[in-house]
Amino acid sequence: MSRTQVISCRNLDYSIGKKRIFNDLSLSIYSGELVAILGPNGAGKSSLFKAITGELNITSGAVAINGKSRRDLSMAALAKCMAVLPQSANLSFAFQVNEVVLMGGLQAICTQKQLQNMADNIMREQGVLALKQQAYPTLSGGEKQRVHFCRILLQLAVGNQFSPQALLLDEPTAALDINYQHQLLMTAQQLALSGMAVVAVLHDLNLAAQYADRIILLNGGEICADGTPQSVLTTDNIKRVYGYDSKIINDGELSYPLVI
Amino acid sequence: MFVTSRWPLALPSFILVLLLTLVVFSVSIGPIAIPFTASLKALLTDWVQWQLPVKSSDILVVNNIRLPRTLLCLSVGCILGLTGAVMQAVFRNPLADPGIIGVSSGAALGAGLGIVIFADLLATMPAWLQLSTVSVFAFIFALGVCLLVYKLGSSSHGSSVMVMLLAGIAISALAGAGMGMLNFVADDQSLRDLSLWQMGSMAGGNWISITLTSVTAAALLLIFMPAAKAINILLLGDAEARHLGLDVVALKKRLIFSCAVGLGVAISAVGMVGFIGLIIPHLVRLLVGPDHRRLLPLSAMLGALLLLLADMMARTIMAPSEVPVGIITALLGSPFFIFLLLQQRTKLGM
Repeated sequence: MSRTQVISCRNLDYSIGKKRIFNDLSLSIYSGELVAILGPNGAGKSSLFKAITGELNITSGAVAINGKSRRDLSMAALAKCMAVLPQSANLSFAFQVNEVVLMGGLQAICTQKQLQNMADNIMREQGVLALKQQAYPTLSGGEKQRVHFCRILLQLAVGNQFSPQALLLDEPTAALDINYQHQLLMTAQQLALSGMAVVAVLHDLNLAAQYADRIILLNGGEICADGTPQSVLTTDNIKRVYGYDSKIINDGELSYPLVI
Repeated sequence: MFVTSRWPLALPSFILVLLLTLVVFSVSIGPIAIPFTASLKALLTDWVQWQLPVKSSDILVVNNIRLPRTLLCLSVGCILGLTGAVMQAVFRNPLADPGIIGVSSGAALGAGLGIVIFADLLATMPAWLQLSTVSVFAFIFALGVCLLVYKLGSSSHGSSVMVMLLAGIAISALAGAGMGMLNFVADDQSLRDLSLWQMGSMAGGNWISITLTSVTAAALLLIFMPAAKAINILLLGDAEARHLGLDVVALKKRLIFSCAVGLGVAISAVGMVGFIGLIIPHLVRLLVGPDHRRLLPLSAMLGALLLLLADMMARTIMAPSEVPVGIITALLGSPFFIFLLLQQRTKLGM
């Protein structure tokens, strides 16, 4: 598959007061790859993520989506080619799960019935269908996260004629149990295989190793390492970035390194 | 919530029938008792041109005295219900009632300033222009307070109940001081105007105030209804709404501006009538859920209903004298507000 550049960040600078969060940071994300952004607390992962999504005003530099500067794209145009799963979204009004998922279809041009069918399929695949009629505020943290993931998937499905698309996940597995952690990342992996550019900020090195095609290791606002899980997750890199003495197991049965 | 999903028009129709019945009741009560059927006949004779046997004095009392007041209740109630629902959505906070966060007192101060400072100029104007001018003053102050409270109390994470309520206290106190000053410096005629109007009463209902408030209510519905789906999405939070393709800043500006116009007009016409905007959207959410496509029209209808009911109480509980309707809505609303605060306490784990 030919790889096209979906997200490009050029020379991003960002500081809060005098504290420099990142400086002259550049990177590109291509279609068809799942990129994990890793790094210790305060490495600038969330800031980089928010610089890409536009929630944060970078001091200088440029972010482009599909070759167009993000500033030049309308909100609606951006929503069709980029979906963002936040770390947590709070919604205190008692919408039903189905209504929350359908919010992802804001840009839809199909009929309400078609949209509902799409939403039902997504909820079925993600194991959320049983919650369909429940009030959102009564759900657990993990269930809420899965509902929002369905909403994001509907947003992508609605905009999919505008490919290639980007999917950005901010610590998507934080509230999930092990089963749903893997289910969510498997879905993300399939979306990447179908040609999407997927970026996930993760904490768990092993989940990153298992699912990412490429890992970007951040430290102090700089890219320390960028490459395949095998090349990035080395004892040296982990010691240097996290200050932790790890052991890497390259088991023949696994196609990825295991960090313990 | 479940009944209405199967028969979506059942509840609105029921409220409409209730509303129409109350209208007839409302024109039948007062110092001259006119039976329900006679009132209905009087209304139909004058409005549908049915020639029914009815006393001409009844027609006069019903259509010239009681109907204007009743219609004013309906249109102002509509405005208060609608703006309450929309402000709670903009602030993403169920306690964001215009009265509680200081917008109403700001608007009242604006209207008061208009009445006192431009007393001479207003006296030269025709009646409709007087009310419109006072409304403009009220609107400017309402808008100012809305923006101030919004800036103070909101961040990208939503709005802080505490900051919002404290800002409301501060602004209400400031507006109260301003109002006191106005009372102090006003000449006899404007003092009379001011104090009559401040009490919050529907008695001043005339065709001018009815036209202005009902046009405003209709305009608000026309602005809010097409945005109902977007308003739902606003509740997810600013960042999430933007990611879904919504121009959040433009939408919020439009909503806050419209609410300020609505409150400016309503408060200029009837004075301070609190709590309708707080109670009604909550009740409607209990009935049909939080979707604004259903919430907004029903809030408008139930707002009208509640204000009409409150006004009927105001006219009857101490008859023949009349209690300002603001007192009735406060009597109903304050306990409700405390109930909501208790709910928030449980949410915060207190």
